[in-house]
Amino acid sequence: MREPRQITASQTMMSIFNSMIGISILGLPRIASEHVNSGAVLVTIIGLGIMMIGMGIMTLLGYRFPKTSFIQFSKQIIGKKLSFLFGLFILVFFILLIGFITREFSFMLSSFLYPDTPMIVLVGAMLIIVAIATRNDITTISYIHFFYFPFLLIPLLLLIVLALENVDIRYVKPFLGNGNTFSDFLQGGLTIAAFPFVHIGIFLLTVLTPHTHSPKNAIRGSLLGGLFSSLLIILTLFVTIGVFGSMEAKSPLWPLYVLTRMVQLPLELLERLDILFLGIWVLSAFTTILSGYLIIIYTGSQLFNLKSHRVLSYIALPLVFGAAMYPQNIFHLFELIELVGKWGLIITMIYPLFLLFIALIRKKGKVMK
Amino acid sequence: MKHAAKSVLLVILVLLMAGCWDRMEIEERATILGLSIDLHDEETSDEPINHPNSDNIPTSEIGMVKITAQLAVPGQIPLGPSQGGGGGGPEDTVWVVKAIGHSMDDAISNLQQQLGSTLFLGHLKIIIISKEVAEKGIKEISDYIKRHPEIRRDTWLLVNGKMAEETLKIAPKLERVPVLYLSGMLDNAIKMGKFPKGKVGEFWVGLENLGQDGYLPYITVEEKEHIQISGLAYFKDMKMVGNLEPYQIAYFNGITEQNPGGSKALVKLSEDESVMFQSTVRKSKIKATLKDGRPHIKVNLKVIGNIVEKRNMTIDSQEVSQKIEKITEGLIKEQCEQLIKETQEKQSDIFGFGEYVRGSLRSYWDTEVRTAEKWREVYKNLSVDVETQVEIKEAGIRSK
Repeated sequence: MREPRQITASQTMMSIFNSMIGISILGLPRIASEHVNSGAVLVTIIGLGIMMIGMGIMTLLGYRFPKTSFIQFSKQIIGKKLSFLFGLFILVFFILLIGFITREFSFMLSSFLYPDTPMIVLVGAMLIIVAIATRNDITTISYIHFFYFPFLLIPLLLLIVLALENVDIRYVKPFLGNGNTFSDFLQGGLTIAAFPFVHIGIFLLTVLTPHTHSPKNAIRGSLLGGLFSSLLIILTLFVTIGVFGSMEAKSPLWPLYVLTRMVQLPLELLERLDILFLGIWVLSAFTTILSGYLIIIYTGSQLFNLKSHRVLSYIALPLVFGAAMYPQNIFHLFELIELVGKWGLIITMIYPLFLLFIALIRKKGKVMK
Repeated sequence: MKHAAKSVLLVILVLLMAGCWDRMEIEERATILGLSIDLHDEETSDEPINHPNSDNIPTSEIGMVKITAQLAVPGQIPLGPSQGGGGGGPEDTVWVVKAIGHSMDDAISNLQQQLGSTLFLGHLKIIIISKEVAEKGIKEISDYIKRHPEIRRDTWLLVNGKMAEETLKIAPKLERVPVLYLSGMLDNAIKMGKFPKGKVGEFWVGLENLGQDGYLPYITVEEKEHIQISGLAYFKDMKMVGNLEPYQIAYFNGITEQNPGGSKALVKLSEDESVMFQSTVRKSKIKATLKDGRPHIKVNLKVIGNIVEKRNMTIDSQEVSQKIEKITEGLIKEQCEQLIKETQEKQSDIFGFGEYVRGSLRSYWDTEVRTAEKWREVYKNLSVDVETQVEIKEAGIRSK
């Protein structure tokens, strides 16, 4: 079945935004302040800067090969065998990563909302819904993202505005942090660039680009999406550090979620917003996992020359489920996410750069004007 | 066939997503509204529930703890305004239970052992610790509260001058549930400008920050009947080292720019002349500079307020008003300096001057200070300048 090509720039942007705003940004303030204390804002800017480079590389590749998918053009560039091997790496990497973030999300749900519900059910329910949603074609999935976009954006802006009045500017100073060296920032930046949402955001482009209206739309959408989500992530980080201070931001597992539990509407319209916000985080986790799952089955279908990504919708389920159930506890999970995420940088940054380089040398694909 | 498969899947999904595992009827929950933590002095041990009954049981750093909980009795707490008549007093709406244990959770489990329904801490409003507990250190209690997913950061943590459990036994006339009365009282005190924002979330921020120390509301129970806010307990690291008098809270609020204003000061102008000054807005600018290689804090405090009462004098001209402003400025400056000096002696930087130093004098902090302990040493001999400015806006609706 041929997939229609009609994703617009704004849909690309919204898809990237929804995929990046997910469960990992809840823990971002903790990890950023662990590395460089009050330099957290700067280190996040560095990390997201690395991500923008990755997105840039992917966009350039997409522009050179507008009609073919990532796996197809990597075949053209470096040959069948090598590209198949890397394709397998990509597949395994994303299966692990998506499993892990589903598990992190389930951990959060189980500690705040469903203490007695078995982990298997929380993980399973989410993955099954995601698998069903990926039975749609890619254009429809981008419409799903389009639909959820305001439900994520508006509460997030509301959160930032409500928390802003409690921000103590002392806590975000000094901008460089105390007692940090250049290598602290570099390591912190790399850790943030290895966050699951970065990988998903970058690789989602490989799925969307072949289906966008025109290559120009793809470029515009991906750059806008990357910048816009980065801006919001930095703002949420800023308010979290500004309210808690970098020392206190280290102590909860998900500082941003703790912040959402604290904010109150003016005039005490509703005493507690946390249940409302928990709903928003469930949505954000759904959209992120949806994109990630789509990357798995789309890459898989291209790799094994299948007709459509739908074929793998349910086949991939046990694999991702297995990855999700593997970590023993939350500490094990966080260690694994960091480890896998860092190795993933090779796949999402260095490998595309390598492809672009070879393509330039061998003059493959559309030549840029 | 395809439809059949789909419907089976749907049915399974419905079963999976109903969330029956965590179904909990409200009657099955023992909702704790208030919790108090005291020391248990007698050497009698608790019930052997989490450990065998022997002498060699790890006990928290403060010793055996006694926990008193105020539970809401289901169905007895009226929603909305009470309809008057018929309703009983607090004895009917809440239930006070006690337990002792070797640690926080040990005591809570012992409490659970006495109750038929599951304890629920999601609606916990107030945790009261006795002064003894606060002075011995709240590291473990704080960790427990922070770790518990049900307890929220907008819970009040209070220090009671004597026995904490007394607070839960009082029966105020204005509200059916004593704990709600107490938390409402504190919220209102903030709105009236008489108390700084100081829920447990803010306390933890002060506690964790390197250049800052925590403070908690300090209350006393008067005649076993009503509760009074009688100052601010300030901490050095995890231990309470002293408390401010209620009148000093006004100056603390001024330095830390807590708005709206509202606290009053009786200003003596001469032997038999005095006015009552009430602040409305406080503006405070704090700057950290380096002077001869040592940090120096400059506080610029501006207080805008009204005259609400006078004695033996006429207030009818700008000249008089300026005179009052001048004298009030002097008073505020003196009191602020006194207050800062007091906390310096106890090495408790509740104003967070250290955070200004950390933020603005980065290289000084990185070479000389680095840790919270070192900052407390520096704070002890820190030079602080207080500049005050008072503006009188209104003097009531009398012409003289």
